[in-house]
Amino acid sequence: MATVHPEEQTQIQDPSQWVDLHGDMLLSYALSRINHRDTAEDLVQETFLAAWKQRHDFAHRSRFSTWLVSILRHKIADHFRREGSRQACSFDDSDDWQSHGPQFTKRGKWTSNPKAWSMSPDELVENREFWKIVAICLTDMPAHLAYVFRLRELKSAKTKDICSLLEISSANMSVRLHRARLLLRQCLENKWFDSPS
Amino acid sequence: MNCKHATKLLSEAQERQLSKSETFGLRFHVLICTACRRFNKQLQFLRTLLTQSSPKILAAVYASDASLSPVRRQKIKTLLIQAAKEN
Repeated sequence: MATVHPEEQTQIQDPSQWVDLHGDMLLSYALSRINHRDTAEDLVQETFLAAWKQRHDFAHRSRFSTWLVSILRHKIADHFRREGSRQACSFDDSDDWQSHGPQFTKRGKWTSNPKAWSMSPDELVENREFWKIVAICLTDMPAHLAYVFRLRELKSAKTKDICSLLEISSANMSVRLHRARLLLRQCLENKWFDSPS
Repeated sequence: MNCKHATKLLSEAQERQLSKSETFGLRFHVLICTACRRFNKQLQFLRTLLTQSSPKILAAVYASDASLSPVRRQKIKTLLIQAAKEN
């Protein structure tokens, strides 16, 4: 038996309130994954319109806002699926994903050796400041790389599920994960582990 | 095997089993290369950290003050009102 939050009954039938009640929340969600303002706003717009069309499918099994987020999540996946067919993701030495310069020389050596990190995961797991830096680093990297990384590392998605969601090969997925890990590692080192303060 | 190749294999090892020859070459490289040894440790470090992370922390950290632009806000409202009229 679904719990119906009384105020949601009327809310759902009155879309003029939807944007003021949920628009900013949806935008935050979209921006944290897309980091391109116009695109994020487009997806929020599409979400509201889709929600209106599908409003009879909302069965009150969750809060209305949660249901909206699930629609947005699908829109975001669609976006990256379309992006994926454009991001050829060549496996060679295209450097355009390396905004801070190449990680390796032409001979395959590190351009800058990893430094020693002198903290243990336990010390950091509850550290808010550290997670803010992690969030910044994920936002800094190309969105299509961060997206795959989040699915794999934060949502523990199976590799075959990621591949079918985005319609990419497992080789392509491996390349994206590898690049995301290189970028994240470098960013965390610069902003946290090796940072002067 | 150079570092670029080694790091690629170290990353792939998180998702698949490496072949015998890949493993052999990689083990040897990591044995003699401090930089890649560190990279490998740091990969494990990040994996551990992320699996232990509280979804609440991440959600809190991602929360932003983002606000829909007034133009967009109005546009969506208009579209929704239009859609409501058509039904």
